[in-house]
Amino acid sequence: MSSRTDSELIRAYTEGESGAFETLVSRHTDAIFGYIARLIGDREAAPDVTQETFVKAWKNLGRFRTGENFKTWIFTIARNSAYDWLRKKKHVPFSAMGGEGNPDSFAENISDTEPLPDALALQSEDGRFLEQLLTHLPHDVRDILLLHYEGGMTFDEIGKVRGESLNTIKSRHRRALIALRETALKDAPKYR
Amino acid sequence: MEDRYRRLFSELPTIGAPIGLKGAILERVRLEERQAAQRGVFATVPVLLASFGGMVWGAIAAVQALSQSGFGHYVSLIFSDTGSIVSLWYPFALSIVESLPLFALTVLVGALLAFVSSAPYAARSARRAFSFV
Repeated sequence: MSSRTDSELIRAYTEGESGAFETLVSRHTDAIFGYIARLIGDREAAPDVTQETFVKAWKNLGRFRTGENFKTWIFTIARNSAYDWLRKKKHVPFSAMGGEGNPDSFAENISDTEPLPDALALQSEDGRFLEQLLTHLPHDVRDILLLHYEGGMTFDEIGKVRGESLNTIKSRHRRALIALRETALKDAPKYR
Repeated sequence: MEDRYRRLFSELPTIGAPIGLKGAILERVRLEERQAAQRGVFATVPVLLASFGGMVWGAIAAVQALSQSGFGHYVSLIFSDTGSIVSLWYPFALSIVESLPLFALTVLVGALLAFVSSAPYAARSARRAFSFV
């Protein structure tokens, strides 16, 4: 694997080194595939959406600005491709959670220090339980959790991927955790 | 709190890309690259042909017009009567410009620039479009 940064690889590719794009693909395929597979919840379709993501990235390499973070850039494309696929399949991914800035939103009144539900904590050693839980969450909620905990992105980076402000992302993250806890409480008996 | 969720998520089974996906992506990109190159060839061939035609027409028209105008006579004056040219440089310059076939020369230079600028792109596109490696 090349020790060059993503930006250096892109520059090398645009200057004619065709192997540089291959390195970029090798470096990011697993992460993008995993994110897409979990976001759309369909592993059969995930390879096609992943392929579409990289083709779109290749077509738009000229628009990639030096100094920009390639990871957030490719995840933005992956997210858009995944949502395009979901829209085509009519899985309209709108979160059922309260709107931004809604003072009555119950999410705003729950403390972040609330412990993990026992059901979730007890079974957390078996990642499949969490995997099942994720499939029960709205896509928008899943997206935040996957980008932050699976993709290892900061809230700032997630904001760039989703085109939202840092505060919005923090708020959405809080709500996503609440939704995860609620789903865990509701669904835990099914997996016991 | 976040650490607990981080630990929780670290238990998620890894979803690796299927074998062959990277190859499929690169193959698809190569196909797109080839198609883009073919579009590039089809777009530049008319430009190359038109600019080549423009160069030929411009060159013939310029040579004919130069031989018919007094341009050659004015140029010979530069060598035969340099002193007069220096003292009457302004009317001389105007006369020499008037004798130039400006339209034909503009077409010739424009076509030459178009040809020179599009030829490398066409060559590069053709190499990519028709390479089956």
